[in-house]
Amino acid sequence: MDLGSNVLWASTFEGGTFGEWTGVQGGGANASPTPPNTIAVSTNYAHHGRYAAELTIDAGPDGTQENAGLNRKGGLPVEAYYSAWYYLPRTIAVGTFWILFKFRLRTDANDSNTENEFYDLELTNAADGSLTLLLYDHQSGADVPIVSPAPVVPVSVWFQIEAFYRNAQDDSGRLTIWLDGRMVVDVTGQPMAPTPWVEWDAVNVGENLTPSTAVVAIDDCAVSLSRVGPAGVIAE
Amino acid sequence: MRRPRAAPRATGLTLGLAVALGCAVEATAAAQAPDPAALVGGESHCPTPAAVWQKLVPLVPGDLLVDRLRVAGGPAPPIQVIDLGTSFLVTAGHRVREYPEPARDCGERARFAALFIAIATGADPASVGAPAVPPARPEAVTAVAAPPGDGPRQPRLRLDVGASAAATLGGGGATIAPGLAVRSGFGAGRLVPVAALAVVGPADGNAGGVDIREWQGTADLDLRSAFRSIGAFRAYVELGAVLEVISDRPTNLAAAQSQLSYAVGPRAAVGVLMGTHARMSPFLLVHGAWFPRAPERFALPAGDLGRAAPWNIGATGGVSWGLR
Repeated sequence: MDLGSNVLWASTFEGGTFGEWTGVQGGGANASPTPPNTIAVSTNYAHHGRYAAELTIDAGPDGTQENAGLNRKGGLPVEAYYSAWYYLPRTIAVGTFWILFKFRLRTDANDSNTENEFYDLELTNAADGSLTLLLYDHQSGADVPIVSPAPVVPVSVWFQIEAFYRNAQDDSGRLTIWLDGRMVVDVTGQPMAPTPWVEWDAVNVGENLTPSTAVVAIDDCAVSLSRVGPAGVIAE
Repeated sequence: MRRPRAAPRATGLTLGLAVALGCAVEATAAAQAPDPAALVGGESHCPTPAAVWQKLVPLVPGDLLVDRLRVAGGPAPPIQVIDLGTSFLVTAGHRVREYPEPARDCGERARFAALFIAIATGADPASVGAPAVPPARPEAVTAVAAPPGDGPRQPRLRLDVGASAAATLGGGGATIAPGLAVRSGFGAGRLVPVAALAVVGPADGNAGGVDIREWQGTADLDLRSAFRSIGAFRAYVELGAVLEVISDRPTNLAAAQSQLSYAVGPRAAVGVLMGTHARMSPFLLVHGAWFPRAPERFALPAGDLGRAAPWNIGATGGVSWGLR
């Protein structure tokens, strides 16, 4: 018995295009500047099916931010689960920052000019050189503590990042993030963005990476009213 | 058994004359018709000795009767009839027979007594044209044999209507819900076929994080055992099969779909009827069913939510009508 779905929106890229992103209001797929940065649907990597998004940036030591990303601006519920599967072909030394997952805000929900950064989920290097996660709060300008021991982000293996984001303007606001189903950070009991407007981005954004060319594959993205988890199915 | 009392005798003349006259009387008697009072005595009113004599005379000639009974000797009449109420006693010479006859049909009693006397005095039963005398077995007449079975005749159709409470086990969290049931039993033998319908719901449960509201309809066919009395109750057992139709609707999905599914499984029940053998009796039935291939449920993003509950248990209580 198929009882229905809690998945509000999903993207598997099996159409071979970014239509699932660009076909919804406020959705997009872009790279900037181009070149050297690119974004494409390819068959080089796939979590399910044949296709996945391949985001490539060239972030050298010149201190320039390089960007490739998939975004959903507005039209999202105040409370929802956001998930995506990622693939990193190799380990990279992070100089300044390397961002995979973002939430942005507007101080005026109806004015796009008031958009600003909010939470960045980044990759950073542990002492042994392996990759781990870091959550940066643009509003406070500080890193948000994550669980200890810090999780290891795998390389050459697909991994899932999922977030529960309740964009409440009171103390019921919450941001919880899981890596492959394990909670790594839980921001609770405080207001989130100043307005209910939500932007969610699955990105490859970096500055000062070694080697400078960084490829990130993304597949099976979803916005859901219930947690997807590593075993979740977002499309049949 | 009471000893028969001697019939009163007429007072005689003087001894000599009595002897002479007695011989003469005897000689005369031998040539005359027998005296019924001298032959048939007793204080019975049903039958009376006279009625017995009337029935006896056509069967056996009086002189033959006198000859055969004279050897019995004694002052009392050789034939005695005694009314014992629900039975009567007949003695003929040295033979005695008691006949149970609670109906107190005096005419029949006289006939039976006459037949016995005729046969006891040597008459060929066929010659007296008598049907077989009913055996004088107390047990044959003291009580009417109880009909087989459990008292009064069982109704051929029994209709049970009641309220149910049913629980599902497995398939996520257990649920319990109310319902209604109608059951019909056909026949009154050792095994009675039963057909039933029931509706249970709504039951609110959860599977894989999805809240589900479920309605269940069942149709079952069973065989019900004969009632066994246990004190004031009559117990029975049912075995059969049940078809369930389930309607599931998620209550917390963004895109919800109501779905119908079905499953088949065995069913067993134990029930009791309470009270007397009245036409309407309260009943209580405890039942269980197992659905080995309960339908699977699916919802995004959890995916497979597992199978619906394979076990159903419940109880139904209500009124049972015996319709004849």
